[in-house]
Amino acid sequence: MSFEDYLNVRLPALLRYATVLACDPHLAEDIVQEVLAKAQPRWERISAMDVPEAYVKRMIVNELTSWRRKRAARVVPMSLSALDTVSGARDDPSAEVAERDAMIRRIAALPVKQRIVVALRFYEGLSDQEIADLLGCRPVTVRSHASRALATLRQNLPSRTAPV
Amino acid sequence: MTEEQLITAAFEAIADTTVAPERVQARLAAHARAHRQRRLLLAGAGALGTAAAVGVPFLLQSRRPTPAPTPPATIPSSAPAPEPERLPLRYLPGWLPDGVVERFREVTSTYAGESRGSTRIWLPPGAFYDPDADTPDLKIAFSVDEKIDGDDGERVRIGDVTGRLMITDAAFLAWRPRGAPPMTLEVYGFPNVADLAVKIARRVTAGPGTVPVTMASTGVPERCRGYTSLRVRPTADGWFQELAFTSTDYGDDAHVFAQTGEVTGDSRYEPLYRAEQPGGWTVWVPRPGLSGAVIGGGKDLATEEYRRLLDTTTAVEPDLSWVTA
Repeated sequence: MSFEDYLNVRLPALLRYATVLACDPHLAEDIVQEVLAKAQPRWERISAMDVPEAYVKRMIVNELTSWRRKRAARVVPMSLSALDTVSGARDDPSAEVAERDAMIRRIAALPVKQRIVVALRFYEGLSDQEIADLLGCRPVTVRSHASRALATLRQNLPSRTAPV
Repeated sequence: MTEEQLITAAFEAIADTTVAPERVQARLAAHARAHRQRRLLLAGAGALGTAAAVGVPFLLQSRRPTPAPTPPATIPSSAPAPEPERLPLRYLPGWLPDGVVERFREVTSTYAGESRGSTRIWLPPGAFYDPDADTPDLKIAFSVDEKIDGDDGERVRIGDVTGRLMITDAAFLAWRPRGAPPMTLEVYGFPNVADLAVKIARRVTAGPGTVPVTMASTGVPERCRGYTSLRVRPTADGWFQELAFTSTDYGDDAHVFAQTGEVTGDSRYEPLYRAEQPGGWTVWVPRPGLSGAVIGGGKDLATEEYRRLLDTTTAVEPDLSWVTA
């Protein structure tokens, strides 16, 4: 598959993947652009791999966690315009939607590696071993990130049994 | 809804904010063609703007005997260096906040030498501009003849025209004063970057200021002879210059570098050939195939083309008199 064909077929999925990991469509757009710009000259080699997309996804994860991205991840995990896009939600009286929006904000505020681990586990459905392979770390490290992330996400979570 | 369902629903909602692939694909091509000069939002450099003829500064070398292409490159150090031609910055910010100093200058012309635009970057004192490095705590970047793709952003008044203001982790402002080329401004790290960007933009005026063209080459492949950019910046161990040639459709480009200190390349470029200079600095060209700039049908330089580019390059030490402490 040529690079252009790959882009035509897989770019939407890659953008969605990066958006979930970055919690920011604009940052995701930037990251996907940079990753694909790097991948293109090496495409002959990448496309010869068993699973080229796994390699590209790993590039996306690396780009997101790289030190060059730290400032974006640290300062504004999810841009205001992105939150606005999600939150037709804000005016929705539904308690579930309100809870979901609160959860989005807590996810967006997680440290980047914790956020990636949670996204890969809950959105991509990957196992700890698969996440560890992707991040280049041990499964125990994945579990540690996940544990800390979930503890943070549970903070201020409205109690299901508490009186309203 | 269980906790797991709530988290999954949150990610589904985040995923639904994904931008359209068509826009990304177009941006990717433009981004690559412009050789990743402007990260994040900038694209389409040099597509508009009024050109002002200022001679043929990037053809400086044509007045000299052309060095033989082989054996290995040496820059003719014994030849007296001519006074470099200069390209104008054209427009200047009339006001900047305290806490930043200028750390990068770029001027662009057509290959024939008509001025196109410029970029200047200010960072905190003690910081150096490095395209590969983490952005320092503060940054202001101002570009002339540069525009931002798309139609996004909040409308803001800049003088008697309307600009577009986009906020991510920085403020990006794009506007085009009447009778002037398009301009962009990036402000990062300050309190209230949006207001600050507007304030800076409203004080931009036409003005003097030039950059001496301290690198030139005659060995540029025909397909890359569209625009020429010279980028100059101080570094921790001296200075770094880059001379970039780009085709008019941004599909093809070529680069040659000059620098003090150890030549290690960066994430985009790995040294291929180099020519050590008597002043203790180095002129070098990169290995083909690493720039990521050939999306959209462009063709990278062949090894022998980079050899010729190096052999026909003239460089002198850059003027860094504009660098403030």
